[in-house]
Amino acid sequence: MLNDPQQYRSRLQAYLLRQSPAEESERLESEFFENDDLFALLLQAEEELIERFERGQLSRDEQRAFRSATQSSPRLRDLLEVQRRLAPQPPARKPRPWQRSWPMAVAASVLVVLSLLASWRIYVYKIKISPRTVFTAGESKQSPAATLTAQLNSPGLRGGNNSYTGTAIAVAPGIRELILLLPPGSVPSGARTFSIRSADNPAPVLKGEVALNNQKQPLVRIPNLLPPNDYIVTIFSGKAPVADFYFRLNFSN
Amino acid sequence: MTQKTFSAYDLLLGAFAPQPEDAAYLLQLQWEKLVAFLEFKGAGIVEGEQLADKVMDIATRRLQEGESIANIRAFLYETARYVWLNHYRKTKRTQRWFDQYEYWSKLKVLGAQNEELEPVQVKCYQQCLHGLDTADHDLLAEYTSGNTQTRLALAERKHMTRNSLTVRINRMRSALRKCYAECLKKEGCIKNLV
Repeated sequence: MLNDPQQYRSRLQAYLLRQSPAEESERLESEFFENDDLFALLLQAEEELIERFERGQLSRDEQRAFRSATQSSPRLRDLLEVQRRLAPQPPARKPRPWQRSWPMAVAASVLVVLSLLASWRIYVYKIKISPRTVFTAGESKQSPAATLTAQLNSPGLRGGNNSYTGTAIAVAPGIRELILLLPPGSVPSGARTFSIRSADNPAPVLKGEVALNNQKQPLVRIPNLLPPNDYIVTIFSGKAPVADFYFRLNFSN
Repeated sequence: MTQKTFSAYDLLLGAFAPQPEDAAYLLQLQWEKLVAFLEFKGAGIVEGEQLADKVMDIATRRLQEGESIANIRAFLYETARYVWLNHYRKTKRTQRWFDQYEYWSKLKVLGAQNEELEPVQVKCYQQCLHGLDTADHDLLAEYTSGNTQTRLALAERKHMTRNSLTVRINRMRSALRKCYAECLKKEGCIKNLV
């Protein structure tokens, strides 16, 4: 057991950011080879560092050191990537002027909630879980996986009052993949690609090719990596967007 | 870890603890420390595992030759430092830069938050996540999206210490990262695995 884990935290962070003098690095390395608890604490310090970077909680100097460390550390880059894929964080935003005044913010929030309650019409809710078997690359062993298929509804367009009409999708534990079926005939022939973004952020989080099922119905196949939120699937013909579909992702127990 | 002959493996185990079960756990943990140490120094996941095997092979050979190693952990650390320095000097710097350039030019490795992924990256992540068994996938997802408090509660629920859970998660992430790197290489996105 470590006597005082707290006294190690800043030392471990400096080590991970490659800011420790050589002698200090060697001392810590030698110590974590001897002490299993210190090794675990080092891994935890690494996790915290990556999570604080993602949440925009590092100071400017720490951020600079973190970015610099990722240049020479495939490990840090990989772990950041894994973190983003498994638990993406919404980008940190500066508060808008009206949000700085809390009574205005509360009033605005109430209005937004009321407007969402009034406008979010969920009228398609067809979900089925179909277990299937996938083969692990390079090995013959099979591992069970679960796919959740959801039918996105038509028209899937933004209403005149800026509200969305979409499909609510509840994802049960163990689901690895989502198949979003698009309404037959809703996608022009020749439209081949899609992008997915959250409704409150224009930057796409996923993109890929539109596939067809046996009934020639268009579908979008994505890994179950998105956090709960409202999303927009945009279908492209070449570079031009031709259709939008909305869905709300939630996790169910 | 590479397979070793029965007697060599026994010698290595014996250097860690008298009880085989304890020794096997400690050997695995020390190997993971070696990989992490080599990665902290700048090795990639595949390179780190290969070099960690090399360190273990050196320790085994010394034991087979009859050398007595008083502190196996200190020996492994010193040997790992030597192996890394040797490897770093031998690896042509220009080649390492070239590998990194290739890696960065074709993939969205560390872009802005919410940057879209290339389809090949999505495919590889999907394939590698499928490769984890369901329990591991769920544990990794729950751990990753949690915080200090929820992770403590998770460890309790799984009847593990917080530190054991951390080490187990590190093992899963390493498997995922290795699978991902190998998939990208198979897809022709990476020239050499680092």
